[in-house]
Formats: sequence, structure tokens, C-alpha cells
Amino acid sequence: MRPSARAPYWVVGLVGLLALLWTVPVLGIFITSVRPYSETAMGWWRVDEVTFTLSAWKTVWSKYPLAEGLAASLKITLASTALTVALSPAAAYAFHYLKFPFRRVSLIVLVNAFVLPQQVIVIPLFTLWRQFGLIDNVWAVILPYVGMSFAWSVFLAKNFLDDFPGELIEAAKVDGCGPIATYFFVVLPNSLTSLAAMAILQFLWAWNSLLIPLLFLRTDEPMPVLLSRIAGTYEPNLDQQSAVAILTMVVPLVVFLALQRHFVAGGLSRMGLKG
Amino acid sequence: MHPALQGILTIAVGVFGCVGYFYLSNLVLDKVIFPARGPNIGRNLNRANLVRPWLFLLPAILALGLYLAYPVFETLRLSFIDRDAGGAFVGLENYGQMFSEPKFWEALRNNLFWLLIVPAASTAFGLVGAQLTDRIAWGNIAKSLIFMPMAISFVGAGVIWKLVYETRPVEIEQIGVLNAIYLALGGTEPQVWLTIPILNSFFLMMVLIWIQTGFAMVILSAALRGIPEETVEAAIIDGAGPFQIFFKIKVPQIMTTIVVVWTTITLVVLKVFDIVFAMTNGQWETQVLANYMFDKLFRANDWGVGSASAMIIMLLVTPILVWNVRNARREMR
Repeated sequence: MRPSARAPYWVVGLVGLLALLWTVPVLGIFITSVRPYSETAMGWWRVDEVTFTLSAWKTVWSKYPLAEGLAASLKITLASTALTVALSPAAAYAFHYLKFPFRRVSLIVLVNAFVLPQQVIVIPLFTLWRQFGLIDNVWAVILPYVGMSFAWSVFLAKNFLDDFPGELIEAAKVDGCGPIATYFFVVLPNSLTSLAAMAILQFLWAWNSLLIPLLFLRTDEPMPVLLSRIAGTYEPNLDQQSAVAILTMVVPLVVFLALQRHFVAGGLSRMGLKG
Repeated sequence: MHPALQGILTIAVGVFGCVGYFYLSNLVLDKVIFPARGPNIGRNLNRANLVRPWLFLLPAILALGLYLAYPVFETLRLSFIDRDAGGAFVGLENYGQMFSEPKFWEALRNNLFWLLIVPAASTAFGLVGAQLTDRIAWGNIAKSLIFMPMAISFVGAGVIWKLVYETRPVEIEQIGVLNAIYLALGGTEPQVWLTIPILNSFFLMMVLIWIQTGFAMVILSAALRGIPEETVEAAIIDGAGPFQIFFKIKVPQIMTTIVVVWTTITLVVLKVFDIVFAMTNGQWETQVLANYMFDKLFRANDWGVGSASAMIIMLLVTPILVWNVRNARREMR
């Protein structure tokens, strides 16, 4: 079972097949987007003649409001990530260190809320936002993102606190820190890994969400909504569709690949994923 | 205002609002309401500590109440009324209307297919990836490739796979990989894959499997590494083959993790919307409940049936919810 032991051919074949199945589709849209349509119309894998061109990219950039879309996505995603990271450790801290009635019950309710489907939430929220005049306002999207994230982010933070060395807290107490000072100066600076995992999870989830912005935003639509519209209008130019798809996924992909290590260490191995 | 500036402002307002809230509310509690001085110092300290947890929890509780508790009951109420008739109570009429629509049954049937196939396939692929990549020199690269789609949005993945399934008229070259392979393997004419009922649902499922396998693989891979080495060594000494070791020694030991992965993916599957919305929009018998609900709500403008179908999705996740709560009660300290 050592890696050095020669793997049988069927193992190599099976893993190779999986790797291929996971690469070819992405490779397809990437190559389609940077070759002229006259070439990819023969199949993007054909190499009789290979020309590199950014014409599809230039066309989509002027044809669709992509700069605005990226800006909207970035704004919504960063704001909801920042808010989740700012608010959920506080709730987790209360659950872990402070004693109060209904502690267990409220924790159980909180951590199981992620099971609820978004579909049950959007109709009443839609009426509510309309009454508040929040439709087409970024907060109509940011607030639900943050609210729904509590279901898993509080749990994630609490899991981390369960492993947090109690001596540090005791030492802070001896030195005269109140609960607030302990939280800000001892607990927070020592939970950065767990916070990073939480931030990445929320970033990916908020960036990739479709249903909520589709319903609550009219102008300044974030990238997934734009992409679904462009792909849904029977845009026949596959090279242009591909370019927009790449633009939509490049930011989360970069964040993900750059911070993968934190993500796996702090988040995924402890619990589930985006709802 | 410049959009970047606007964005920064949005974030700043949010974060400073939060920090300010915690700081000020605690300050008010400690200095004004229950000051830690004067004749009642002991009593005041106790009371302040009694109130404090709720200050920390308030944002979370407010948010959950607003985003979860209230909407669930409101959706339930909406499913029993007729909005056009001024909100009159109509009992089960919306449900009756929904049950009489063939599209609803088609969506329910497809959801069951998704439910049976996607979690099983993702977990199986994930297990294969977790177990076999360790034995190959380029295994880590393969792992990263399988893991990568986790960062891609469902819509993005839908567009990616639409290119794979793309069909061109028979007289010109095919640009979809699937048709090219099909023709190379002796198929007579290109197929319009996404319009073939039943089969097309499987093509859509492939997209979700493609996304979820990476998640399954990472979790299962961590679980496999946690298996005590001695159990495997003992099996080898007893003469067990690699398949026996895997299925009789390793899999039983990570069964809890497999169940967790399975249920997590099941939850994703029950709510699946983006992929169907972006790829077929429920045409050619690919409808699923979440997209059916979206159709009813924002295309047919029928809030009663829309809410009723949302409650059906809710009903489908309830067993998992109950199971989760029971587990949580057992484990929680």
C-alpha cells in the first residue's frame, strides 16, 4: 500500500479516466473562448490549424455589462463574507463560554437551520423586501446571505472554540480581562485559521449563488445571474458564452486554489458545505 | 459614486456596525444599566452576566428569525390561501391543483431519480478518488483536478457541460465532445442529447456529480487517513487481498463519514435548481421541484401553487432534518 509500490494498470486507468472526465469539459470552454469560431466549429480539440484570438473576449466585454457584473459580485460577496466573519464568532463565543437558559436548544436549532431549502424562504422574503423598498438594493441579497450563513458558520466557529486551549482564557481572566476583552484580544487573534476557512466557504457560496440575486436584484446583476441570462438567451456564439463562463468562475477559482490549504484544514474536514 | 468606493463603503458600514454594536452594547450594559459599583455591585455583576450572552446572540437570532423561522410559516400560510381572491383561505385547493398537473409529477419523479443517483455516484467516485490516488505518482494532481469544480458555480458548470453535449446538424462537424465520441464509436447520426427524455436528466445529473465528487473525496480521504494502521496490517497478515481490505476493513470503519457525505449531498440534490434552470429550464421532461416552483412563482405568477411546491421540498428534507437533530442532541455537550 506504499505509494512506491507499482499500482496495477486498472488503477492507473480508472484514475486517469476520472482525471480526464474532470479536465476535458473545462479545457473545452477555455480553448473555445480563445480560438476563432471558424476553427472551433470543427471541434475545439482539432489542431489542424491553431490561432490564438481574444476577439470573443472583446466582444462580450462590450456587448454585456460584465464590468458592472464583476463589481456587483465582488461587492456583495466581500460584504457578506466580512459580516459573516464579524458576527458568527461572537455567537459561537456566547454558546461556548457563557451559560444561559435554552443554550442547548437554541444551538440545535441554529446548526440545523442549514437543512432548510432556500425555496421556502424566498417567497416571504420577496414580499418583505418589497414592503421595505429593498428590491434591487444590494442589502436585499447581503442580509439573507449573512443570515443563512449563521447556520453553518456559528457551528464551525464553535467547533474551533471547543478545541481552544482553556488555559489562555484563564490566563486572560487572571490578568484582569473581562469577557469582551478576552474575546477581542485572546480568542479572535487565535482563531484566524478557522476564520479563514469560514471566509472562503462564505465567499464561494455568496459568489456562486443564483436564486436570491435572480429574484431580488434588477440592475447591477452579479455574474452568475448574467451568465444564466446570456446562456439562456440562446446566444449562439459558444465562444462568447465560454468567455463569460470563464469570467464568472475565475475569481472563486483563484481564491479557492490560493487558500485551499486553509480551507481543507479548517473547514471542510469539520463539516459539510454550502447549502 | 464610484462602484469600488461604494463597495468599500458597504463593507465598512457592515463591519464597523457590527464591532460598534458589540462594543457599545456591552459598554451600556456594564456602565449604565448594571454598573459595577455602588451598593449593588455584586447583584449588578451577576445581572450583567445574565444578559450578556443575549447581546452576543442577538444578531444571529434576529437573522435566523427573519430568514428562517418567519419565512417557513409564511410560506406554509401562503400555500393555503388564494392571493388573487384577496387572500381568502382555500384549504388544500392549491395542493389539489398542483397534484393534478402532470408537470408536478414529472418534477417529483425526476427529483427521486436525482436523489437515488447523484449522492450514490458522487460518494462512489469520491471514495475511488480518495483510495486510489494515493497509489499513483501523479495522484495529487488528479486529486486537485477532481477537487477544482467545487469552486465553480452551478451555472458555470452548466455552461461548461452544455458545450460537451452540444449538437450540430448532421451534415457539419460536431463540436460537442459527446457527439464526437458517439460518432467515432460507430453512432450513425448526432444525437440532441438534452432533448431525449429520461436520458437527458442523467446528463444534467452528471454536472452535479462532477461538482460534488471533490467534496466527497476530500472528506473521505481524511477519514481513510484516520483509520488505525494496525487494522490494515492485521488484515494483510491474515492474507486479505486489496479488495477485501478495502471493503471489509476500511469501508466499515469510515461508515459514519460516508453517511454524513451522503446526506450532505442529498440536501444539495433536493434543492437543485441552478443546473436545470441554466441548461434546459425544465423542458424535455427534465423538470425538478425547485425549478417548477420558480416557474409557478415568477412566470405563471401563481403564488399559491408556488408555495405549495416549496412546502413539498420542505417535506422532503424533513426526514434529514429530524435525523440531524437527533444526532446533534446525542453529540452536543
